[in-house]
Amino acid sequence: MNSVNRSAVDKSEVRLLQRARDGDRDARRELFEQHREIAYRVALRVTNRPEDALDVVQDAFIRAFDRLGTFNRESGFRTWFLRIVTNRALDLIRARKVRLAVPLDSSDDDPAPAVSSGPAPPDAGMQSSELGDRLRTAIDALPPAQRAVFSLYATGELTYAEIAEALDIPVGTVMSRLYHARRRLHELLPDLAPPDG
Amino acid sequence: MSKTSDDILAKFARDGLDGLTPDEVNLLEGLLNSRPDVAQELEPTVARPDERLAAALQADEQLPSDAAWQNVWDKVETGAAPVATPGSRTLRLWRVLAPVTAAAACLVMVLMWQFGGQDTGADEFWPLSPGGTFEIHEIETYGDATFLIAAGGEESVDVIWVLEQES
Repeated sequence: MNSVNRSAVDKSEVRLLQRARDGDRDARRELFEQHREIAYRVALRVTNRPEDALDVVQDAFIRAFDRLGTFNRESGFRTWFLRIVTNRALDLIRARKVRLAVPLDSSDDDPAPAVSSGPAPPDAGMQSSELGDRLRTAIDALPPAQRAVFSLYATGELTYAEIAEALDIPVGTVMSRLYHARRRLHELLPDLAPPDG
Repeated sequence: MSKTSDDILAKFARDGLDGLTPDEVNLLEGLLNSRPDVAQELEPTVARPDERLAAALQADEQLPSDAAWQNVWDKVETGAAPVATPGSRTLRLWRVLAPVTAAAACLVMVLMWQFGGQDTGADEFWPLSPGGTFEIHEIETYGDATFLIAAGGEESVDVIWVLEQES
């Protein structure tokens, strides 16, 4: 996107946010429709449960609309909003006290837990479902810090700067956590690892 | 930059994260976190999963239906703060000014109390001062506790606490 188009988008977003801050229902609905899917995808990867992901999205929008007055526009709304989404999702999994294969305070160097990966069944539909199960299990085994980075990365829509901003961590730390998250997933799911060479 | 930093960056640019060892990633993290100028070159890059992982993630995602989204929106609408109205701005302003006004009124009352009475050399930081000339209209006692004296003036009743002297 060139600078002229980006400037136009920014101004459009500023106007929309101003209307939403003033309580314009249509503006709020527009924000909801613009950002609900990416919010859901992030929340789903963090919580690993569709029903929890919807609750997180709902709660995040409520909080965001309540706090629009504090949004200082140093970052885009999407980044600011995804920070709320990620924090709420992490709060939820901590509150849920999910039994992870790896303890919550494990270090990045801990060996990855074993994930059942029997031979793939011949049926493509079953194969896809089984892979999805294994993928979810593997993501669920990530420590929260790595899972948060991976969830934002998995959207494929955010820059490293946006991921760093959403999580309030430096870019270098994003790279490090992402590296360890991917490495752990590749150990658990070798069929998803990039080919050697 | 040192040769090591150059090597790390070159290797990262060539092979991506997957091409680095854990030690090299640690060095990369330190380099990016300490060198904003270096980090700036990387920051605008969109972080995208490789094809296999992206395909697996996409296949696993089942987005909510329109009805489910409408349900979420309905809850957001009822859960969010009331829509702002022009009157509420005044209310919000009053919520800020009210405690400030109350504090200012208390300060004025204290100052009037202090400067309105005779100067008997009371501590300037303590707004209370020993009473001067006054007419006692009523005395109430509560056992050995503090005496309460109500001294009536022409237009108001002043309540004066007389504290027992400690022996």
